[in-house]
Amino acid sequence: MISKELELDVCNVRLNRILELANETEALLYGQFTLASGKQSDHYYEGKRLTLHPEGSYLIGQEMLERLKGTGVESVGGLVIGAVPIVTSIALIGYKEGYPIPAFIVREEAKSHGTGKRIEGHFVKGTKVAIVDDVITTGGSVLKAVQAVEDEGCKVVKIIVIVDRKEGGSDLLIKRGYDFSSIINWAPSTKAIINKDNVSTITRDTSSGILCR
Amino acid sequence: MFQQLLETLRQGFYVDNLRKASRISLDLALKSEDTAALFVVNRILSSIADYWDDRPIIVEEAQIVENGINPSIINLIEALESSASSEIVVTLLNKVVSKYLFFFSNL
Repeated sequence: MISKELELDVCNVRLNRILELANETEALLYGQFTLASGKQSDHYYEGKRLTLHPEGSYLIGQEMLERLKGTGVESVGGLVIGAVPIVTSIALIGYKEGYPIPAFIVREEAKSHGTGKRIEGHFVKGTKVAIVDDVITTGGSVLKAVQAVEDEGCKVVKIIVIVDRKEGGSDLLIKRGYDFSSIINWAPSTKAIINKDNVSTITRDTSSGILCR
Repeated sequence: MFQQLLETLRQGFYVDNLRKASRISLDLALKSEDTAALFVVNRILSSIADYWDDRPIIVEEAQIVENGINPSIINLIEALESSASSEIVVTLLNKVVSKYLFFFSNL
């Protein structure tokens, strides 16, 4: 049987490797950028460089899957394009590990042709779902996905993002009562760090034997 | 609505604002008699928003594109609002498209 300490170490190693990879793949960019909101920023997270990297995709899928275990989610989804490789990885790794979670994607707007659906994939109205995304700034993208599934009668039981830019989005979601967690915190004018809140949560959870939540 | 579009354009080029201006120009295209010109503006704004969405846009790049294209769009919208002649509108529309193609001809 694997000890709780060893599981905790494995979890920490994975989190640290995700941060390393984010730097190695140049997903974490430094410079002066214009964001979608019009705000300027001295850093930019280009999520797809991490989530479309073979090891990055694998580790992100593993980490998110661990955080979804025990939450009762019946499916996991998120807004295109950022969430697409993430939910694919979670579905694939979940299947491989005997904990399959079906995935869906939410379009920015409903298609004007074809099926006209806004939510595509394995999505059932009125179920418990999780929403994931690659990055959160003000929370706009995550809230679009949340609104779309809640409009279909679903309950959002977990929200996970890879990078929290600490610019109000996560606070807004927490204030609204959502169970939110991030893997990396990257506040303006700082270096990206592993979210220590999650690590300390892991430590607290060792009493129940449930790690990496 | 022309004023609303002009105010939105004057707020600058960034994805959320480009999408907002794009929606207003489409609404105007459907309601006014300047359908073709406004539809072209709608497509141009939407195309830039799509190209910039979800990718790192360096501030200088955004400003160069904005300074290169936005004034010509504003001139066109002001001409449409003041019911300028077809000749003037076509000339201004050509300028808008030329500026757009200068930056985005490979899209």
